[in-house]
Amino acid sequence: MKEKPYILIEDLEVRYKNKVVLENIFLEVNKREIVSIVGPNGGGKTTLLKVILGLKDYTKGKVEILGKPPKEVDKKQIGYLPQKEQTAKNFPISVFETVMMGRYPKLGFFKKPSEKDREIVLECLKIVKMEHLKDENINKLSGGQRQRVFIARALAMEPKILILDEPSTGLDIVAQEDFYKTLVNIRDTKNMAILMVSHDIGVVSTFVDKIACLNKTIHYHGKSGNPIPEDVLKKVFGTNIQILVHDQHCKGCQRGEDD
Amino acid sequence: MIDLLQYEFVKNALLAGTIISILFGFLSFFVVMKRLSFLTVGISHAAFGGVALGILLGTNPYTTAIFFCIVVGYLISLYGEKSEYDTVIGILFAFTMALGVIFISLKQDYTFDIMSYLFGSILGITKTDIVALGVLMSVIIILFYLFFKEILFITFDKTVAKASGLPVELFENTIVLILSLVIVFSIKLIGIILVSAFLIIPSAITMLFFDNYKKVIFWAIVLNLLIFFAGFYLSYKLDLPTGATIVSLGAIVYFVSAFFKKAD
Ligand SMILES: Nc1ncnc2c1ncn2[C@@H]1O[C@H](COP(=O)(O)OP(=O)(O)OP(=O)(O)O)[C@@H](O)[C@H]1O
Ligand SMILES: [Mg+2]
Repeated sequence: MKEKPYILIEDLEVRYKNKVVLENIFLEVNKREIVSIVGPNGGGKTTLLKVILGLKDYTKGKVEILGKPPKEVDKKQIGYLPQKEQTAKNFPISVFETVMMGRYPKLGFFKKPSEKDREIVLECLKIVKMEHLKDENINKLSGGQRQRVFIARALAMEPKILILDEPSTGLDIVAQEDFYKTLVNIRDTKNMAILMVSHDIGVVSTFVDKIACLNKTIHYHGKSGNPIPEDVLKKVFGTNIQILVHDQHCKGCQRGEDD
Repeated sequence: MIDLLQYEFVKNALLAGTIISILFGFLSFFVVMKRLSFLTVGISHAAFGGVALGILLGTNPYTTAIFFCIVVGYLISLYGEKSEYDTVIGILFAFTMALGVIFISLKQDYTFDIMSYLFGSILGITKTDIVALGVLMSVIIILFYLFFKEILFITFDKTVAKASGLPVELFENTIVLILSLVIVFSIKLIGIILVSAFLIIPSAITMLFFDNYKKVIFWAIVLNLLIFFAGFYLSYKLDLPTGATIVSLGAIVYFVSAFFKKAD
């Protein structure tokens, strides 16, 4: 029997006040699958992730995360990297301790981190190549280094689902490539489902399992079980894949009126 | 200072001051990190309206002050979500002070000493106050000890803490309640006008020198104790009001530290 999808969304509608920002959304993310959402600014990518995380209510449709509605799901199973970091300014804490926070929800109340937790944290720091800075204060890091620390914190949660909102922001080209390789690696070794927002389709399309093109509604669903044919990719993203293109080739995927 | 200890009220004041210094030194880290400085100003000034209401009604002013502080704390959380926090605090802070002035004007006989509420009166500290402070401190320390890592996570990164299932709203409501209580319980010692400084200054200073939260908190407590005892002694030697001397000393230490701290 086929296992239940980790993320299942059917006929979803989401509004801010009365403005519909997402509608008619169908999405499925399975175990051991990487799905990337692409789309124009204001297309609703972050909103969709927030719905999945239970941080935003929806007005219509079905959302099941690990078989449960977003508000009831065991949150320890979901790792999250927000698009915009909203940490307390100048918080005096080391890189190591920051990543250790990813272990806190798993640990539960009244428990202190064990040697095992420390090992996991170190491993995650290695993955993002930040272990040499583990004792550094996070306020002394560069933007990209900081981003890596927060990626490591999400990994340290060892979740079933990893939700990443524009994780490659601020990463240099080498770090980006490393990062994507890492994602493939953890998908396979840790059996995670990974849903991420990304703007660099060119890179992303080579390793993800599905790409969802989101502009208020999802317009394209590529499945890699039967790999996305190159001409389809070209159709969807145009030939110049460096830029996120929603041009005339992208069926039904017009840009919003205001851009 | 030893000779002072023969007086009962001095002993009481020092005991109360010790408890408050530890408590405020500790809480100041969370106040500074969660940007609650102005919130503490708002809550403490709300105490004035509460005290005035108590005087008008002829009940215990501290009871009405606690009530006022908590209500204002929650109004700030509630309306702060809708407009800006600073805006709401600015309005409520003036409103509760205004109510206080109105309540006092309604009271015909002026037999009470409003100055002692505004600026503290260490002479008035009783054994009961100390017991209350001791209980409050124990409860707060136990709470923070048990849930320290969760509180740390929420203080550091509210969004992700919430996404990971930590009870962010519960914590935020609790901290408003805790701040309201400690502020009201400290009014006798430091006074309504000055109390918030005591909740901001300690970590504001130690943040300048330490880059780890454990050290920031630990030294904030130590420093707060030092400032309290030094201020207390100075106020006795120079015959100055105690609360005001302590707060002034703290502020001077902050500015001197910040001045000598090298920019990175
Ligand atoms: N808090 C909010 N209140 C009202 N409207 C909002 C809010 N957040 C987002 N929106 C609206 O919802 C739409 C989708 O926003 P969202 O942040 O999900 O876009 P996005 O695809 O993540 O964009 P970007 O690529 O810029 O990150 C936008 O039109 C935006 O104006
Ligand atoms: Mg976004």
